[in-house]
Amino acid sequence: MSFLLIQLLTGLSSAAVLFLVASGLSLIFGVTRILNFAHGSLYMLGAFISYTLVQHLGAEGIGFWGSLVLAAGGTALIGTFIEILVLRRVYHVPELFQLLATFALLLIFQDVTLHLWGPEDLLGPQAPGLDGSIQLLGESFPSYDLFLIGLAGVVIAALTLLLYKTRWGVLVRAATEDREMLANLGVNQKWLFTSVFALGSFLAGLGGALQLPRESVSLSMDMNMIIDVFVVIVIGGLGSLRGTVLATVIVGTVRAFGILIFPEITLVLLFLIMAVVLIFKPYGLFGRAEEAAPAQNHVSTDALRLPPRWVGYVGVAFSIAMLALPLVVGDYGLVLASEMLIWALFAASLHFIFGPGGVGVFGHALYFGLGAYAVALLTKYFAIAMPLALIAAPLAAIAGALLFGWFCVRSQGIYLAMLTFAFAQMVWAVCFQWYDVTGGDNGLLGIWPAAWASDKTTFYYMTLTLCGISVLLLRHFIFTPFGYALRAVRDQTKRAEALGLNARRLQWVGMGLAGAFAGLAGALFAYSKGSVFPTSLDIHTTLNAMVMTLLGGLNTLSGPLVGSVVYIFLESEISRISEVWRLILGLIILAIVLFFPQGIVGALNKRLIKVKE
Amino acid sequence: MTKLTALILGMALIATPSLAAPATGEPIKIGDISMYSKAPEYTGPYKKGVDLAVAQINADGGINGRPLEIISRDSKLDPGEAVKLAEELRSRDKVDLLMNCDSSAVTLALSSWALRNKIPLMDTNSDADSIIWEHGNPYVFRTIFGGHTQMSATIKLAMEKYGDKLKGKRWVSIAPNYEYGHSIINAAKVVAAEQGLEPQWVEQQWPAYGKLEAGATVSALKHAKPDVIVSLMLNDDLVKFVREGNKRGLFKDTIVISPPLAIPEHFEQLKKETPVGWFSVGFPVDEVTDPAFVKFRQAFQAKYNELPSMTGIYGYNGVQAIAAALKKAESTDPEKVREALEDVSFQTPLGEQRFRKIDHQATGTLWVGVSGLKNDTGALTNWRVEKVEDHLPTDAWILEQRAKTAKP
Repeated sequence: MSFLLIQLLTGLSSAAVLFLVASGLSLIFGVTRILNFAHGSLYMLGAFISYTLVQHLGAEGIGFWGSLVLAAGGTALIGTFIEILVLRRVYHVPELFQLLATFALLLIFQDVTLHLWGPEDLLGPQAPGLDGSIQLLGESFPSYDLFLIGLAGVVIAALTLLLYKTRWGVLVRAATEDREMLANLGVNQKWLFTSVFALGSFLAGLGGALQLPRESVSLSMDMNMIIDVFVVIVIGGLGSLRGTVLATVIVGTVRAFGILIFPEITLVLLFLIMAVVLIFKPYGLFGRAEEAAPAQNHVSTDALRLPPRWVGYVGVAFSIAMLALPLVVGDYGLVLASEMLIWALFAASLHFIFGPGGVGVFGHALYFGLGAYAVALLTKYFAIAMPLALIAAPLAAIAGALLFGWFCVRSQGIYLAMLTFAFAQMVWAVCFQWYDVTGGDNGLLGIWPAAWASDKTTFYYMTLTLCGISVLLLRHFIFTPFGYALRAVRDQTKRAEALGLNARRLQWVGMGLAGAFAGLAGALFAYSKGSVFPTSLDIHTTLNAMVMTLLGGLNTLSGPLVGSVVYIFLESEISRISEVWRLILGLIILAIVLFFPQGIVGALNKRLIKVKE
Repeated sequence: MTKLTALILGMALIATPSLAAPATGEPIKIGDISMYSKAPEYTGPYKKGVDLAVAQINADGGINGRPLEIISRDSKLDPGEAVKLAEELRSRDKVDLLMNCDSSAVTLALSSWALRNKIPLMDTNSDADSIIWEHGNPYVFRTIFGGHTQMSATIKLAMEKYGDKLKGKRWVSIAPNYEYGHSIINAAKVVAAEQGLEPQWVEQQWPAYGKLEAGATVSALKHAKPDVIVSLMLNDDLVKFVREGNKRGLFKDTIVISPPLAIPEHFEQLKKETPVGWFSVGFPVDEVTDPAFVKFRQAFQAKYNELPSMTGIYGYNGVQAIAAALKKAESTDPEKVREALEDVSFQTPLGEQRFRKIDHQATGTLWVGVSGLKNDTGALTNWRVEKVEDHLPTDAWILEQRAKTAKP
């Protein structure tokens, strides 16, 4: 019995730091509606800065605690800096761009931190006076862990006081409830946003600094923390402090007890909790539907028009060039071109559901991975012929898309996005751990195309044909009544529903379609690499496709194609010539978000195509 | 420059009775695909070891007059990316061999590509057993010792110290939740059973790599009242495990077997907090007196002003093996080089080594000992040299593992 109590306290103490960081993001989101990917980076910076300060100010008494507070303050300053410099410019762009902009900041921070502190993990000192344990219920319990629980309690109290007893707090709560009204009432939003951002960053930095006695400061702290934080604030309900408290307590305790029953569940427990919560409460524990609906998730309200005829001629010329490619480039060029085509198809499928479909998904890689694994498993266990596998893969993907999609379309906005992400993570965990069947993280090897398609040229033509037809099909769907209905639901949900369109069913079918083509892309990817790993299901795969789609332009049809070509080209060339490829990539993404939100093709459209009003 | 010209030039240079002339012929290109941006603390020293070997070989005349050239690329820890880079290195840069320092997933993807494209791959860092056993193929060669070897050496050392006191005890394990963790704990179970230790495995924890919930996991392990702890915690997880474990009294009166503890990177982090008395495989590079190693260490220090570490040593060995094979094959044809690699013996700071026919594992040595403190930081104490060949499973067992993977 005492063991269970100890385990409960342990769970709470691990929740404490998570709560600090998550509360910061929750506050920020509540007011600014920005989900800051770089929040994890601020947490990481807090840890690194406090490490350095402790080296200079000493690890005793005031030196230690002073360093922590100063580090948190320093992080608050950095947060303010990025808010003023970058985020102010993205408040009015679509949600997706905001996410990408903050992701770009994460990349930049990663390389900057690497170059300031070096690649090694750094271990700071233990907290003075709190480096031992006390006897609790017959067990040794670390005193620092108790301190963290206490500190979290103090912070909750302080935040509650701040939010309910100060004028600033009133403004923050008002902004969380209704931002437009607040602006109408003449409140200076700029400084409100900046101050909230500063407080949120302070909390993140404090969380990072407080980790110093428990773990080493490392360059993977940012990604580790940000995923946990996103999940926690979705479980709790965005913008709700109560929700964040409850969610972190739930997560901390379930984790602490989960490993007693099923140790391997560590990979997926967090997402399982989130999925279960969202299925019963589609807006989190204390969230509200109004917050979920995105302000706008498409670039412009221009209807997607068929482009003028001369664009068609360009398309034909381009197709001829693609057909003639093997005459011009060697084997490696064809490998690269095949890869670009596969990513272009994946990006196009994402674009279909994101842009015209209006469903912001965050776990699209799940269907890419399902297609890839379908091919791999069928090849490994049934030695299936390639053409059959290429048919089976999209079928497997569409089955998955319809299954998971059914749950997802019951939510909206960020909740939907996170639910798609949760499902992707859960399938990832299955593939990662089911070693006997999927090969686990060793993956499945020896997935080579049929003998007739083995040389690079034939494989390229096959890829070109399949991807070309698929992209044209997707394009076709957008201009069918189904496509128009999807867009109607996206733009004016209530009106569309009043006209008799079933929003959920349409989006569900849209997800299925997008999933099918993603699966085909995944299948081709498997054959092109000869192996399949769980990485094809993870967040980076999705993010790659998202960046490509946005790079090309969300409101155009050739956008994802152009985007994938440019992105792959950039990525391979940048990492060839420079070590700081993350920094450069981050700067490029930022430049696009800030200056070319319509993407490359969108920007070209504006210049070259005159729309007759 | 044609091969003939190079040959004549080479001969002329060799015929000159003076200092060995540096290699000047057309370079022999070797591709290197490693996790540069994602694990620089490992690939940094690796690159230093590789560059040192290349510099020494080229200063000594290269391979029959031709210098070695390593073309390095960053895998970003992504198997798909690594395969693309392999294609690029082969068709654009025209490399004849590949070498790498990377995670097991990336190495496996490359090994599959190597088999398909018939290019030898020299693995210098991935110690997952599946790379040379379950998924082994004729084109993969490995310089570093594997998980099974580490487990066997440390458990046997613990047996020597504790003798019968180690029999019939309560064993727990904590290993990262991916294939490497599972397979190395499996090796521990196999070795412990083989050695007649009759362990009772009362608790097994599998934290996600890099995301150890230290408090809860340590508490769960403690609750099982372990006598022996097998820990495969690495890097950040290790630090959390040590700190939390100490505070909760997990390590009191327990025997801890932790093969990866004693790598220099861990000592650099833990310093004074290094746990004492854990059985581990280490790299006491400053204490080794073997002349071949001392020579290597001095050369490394002279060039880089630091001591060599694990990845540096095995990267260096990899280049030595490749060079020896190239010299023996007298050709850069990948198939001939592969055959040469199977037969050749090469000189390393750890002595003369060759690759075993059955699995292409480099024979060689490892240092096993007990963790301790020296000069305010961690060190491997009471260590001795063990032969890799003494700590490998039977050939029959290996062939059984190979048979498990269905060949497409």
